[in-house]
Amino acid sequence: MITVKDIVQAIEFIPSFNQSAQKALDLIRSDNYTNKDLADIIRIDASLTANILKISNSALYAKSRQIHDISTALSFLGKQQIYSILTLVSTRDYFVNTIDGYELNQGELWEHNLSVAVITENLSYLEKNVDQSLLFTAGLLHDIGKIIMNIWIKKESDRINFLVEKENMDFITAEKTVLGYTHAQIGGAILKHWNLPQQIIDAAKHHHDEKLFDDPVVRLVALADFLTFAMGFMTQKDNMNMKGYTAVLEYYNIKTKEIQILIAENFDRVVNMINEFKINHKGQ
Amino acid sequence: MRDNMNKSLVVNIADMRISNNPEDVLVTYSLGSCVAIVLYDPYKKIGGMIHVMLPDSSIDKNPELNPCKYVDLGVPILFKEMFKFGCKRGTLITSVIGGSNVMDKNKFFNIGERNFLAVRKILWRNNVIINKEDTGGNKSRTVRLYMDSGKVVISNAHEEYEL
Repeated sequence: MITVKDIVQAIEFIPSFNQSAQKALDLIRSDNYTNKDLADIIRIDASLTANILKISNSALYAKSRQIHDISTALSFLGKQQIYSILTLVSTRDYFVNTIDGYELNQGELWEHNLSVAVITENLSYLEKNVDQSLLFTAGLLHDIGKIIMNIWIKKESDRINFLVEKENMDFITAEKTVLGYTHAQIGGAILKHWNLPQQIIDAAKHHHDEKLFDDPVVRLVALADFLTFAMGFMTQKDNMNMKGYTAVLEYYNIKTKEIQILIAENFDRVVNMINEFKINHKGQ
Repeated sequence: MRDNMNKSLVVNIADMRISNNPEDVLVTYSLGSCVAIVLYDPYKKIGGMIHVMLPDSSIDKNPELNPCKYVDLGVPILFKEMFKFGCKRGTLITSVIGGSNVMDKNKFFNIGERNFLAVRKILWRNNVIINKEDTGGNKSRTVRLYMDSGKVVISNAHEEYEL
């Protein structure tokens, strides 16, 4: 079992969220800024600036012209896109190392996260009142808890594997049974420590809840997570024994036929995203 | 898990690969509800693999953009491509792998089963017998086809076995 003290120490130990990115995200959320204000914050961080320019010029976001400076980039991109790109560049590094408690091949979890991010954003039409700028980020960070849980999962892998394989327990319940906490709970704690918006924290914390959490962002992330598994963007350590998806499918009245349509509609965008931002090739 | 001696050709989701190079290994990772159909000609040592995701293309307005997403469009293409290499239907060894079901506590979502049934139906209609299969359940499967021997090896985090 892990203790609250273990968790607090582990969260302190991981590199904190990029400060400039954090400030920029807060500013965008305040809705009271000019592009110059935003550019001034981002420019301080050379590596963040370079990464934003790189993504702005990638096939996913680029228009016809080449963008060479941050002010131009910000004036071309919408609020929602800037928010997504800032999270993308400041999050990727957390997933560069193999998270081998959960994945066999480097990059599997990152691909899963990219898929959930893209689909969560695409599903926004299912909800009337939802802050669209948060959706991509909420999807991208929903499994962030796994980067910390990884260490403990590896230590207890025999016991967890036994429960999953022999007792046919789902992975989330096995985490809770052996370690006392789930990756969802730890994820919520990390995002709270980083001072991210409450809805993003809740999406990480509650995306596996059996009882549907009453928040549109959580619902969309849970549905996107299910669709991502159904498409096959899962890690090799996942089995298909998943908890908590029934509630969200019932809420949106989504049945097998609709699941298939949603998979078909979202797949190509997911693949484009993964090809653009993947960490490396699987199995290398 | 590494293929040190051989060259791995990755078959992505909704993707297909064919090889006639005995040093190649065709590999597709983490099949859940998706299904891999593997064909191998032991005389010519030519093999092909497709990783399909959904049973039926009728739900898609533009299925031709990527037919390998679907069982009904993808499987015939795999056979046609094998025939182009001179393979004959009667000599091909056909394996079907995957089609797990996503389980929830009380219910399951049976896209995996539907995928497998669609494969069985299209093969049966075309008088193709499934020689080897490993389908259903709720586990993840990685599939490797060794071109030199035609060996099909299935693995996940907990086990590895030859089909």
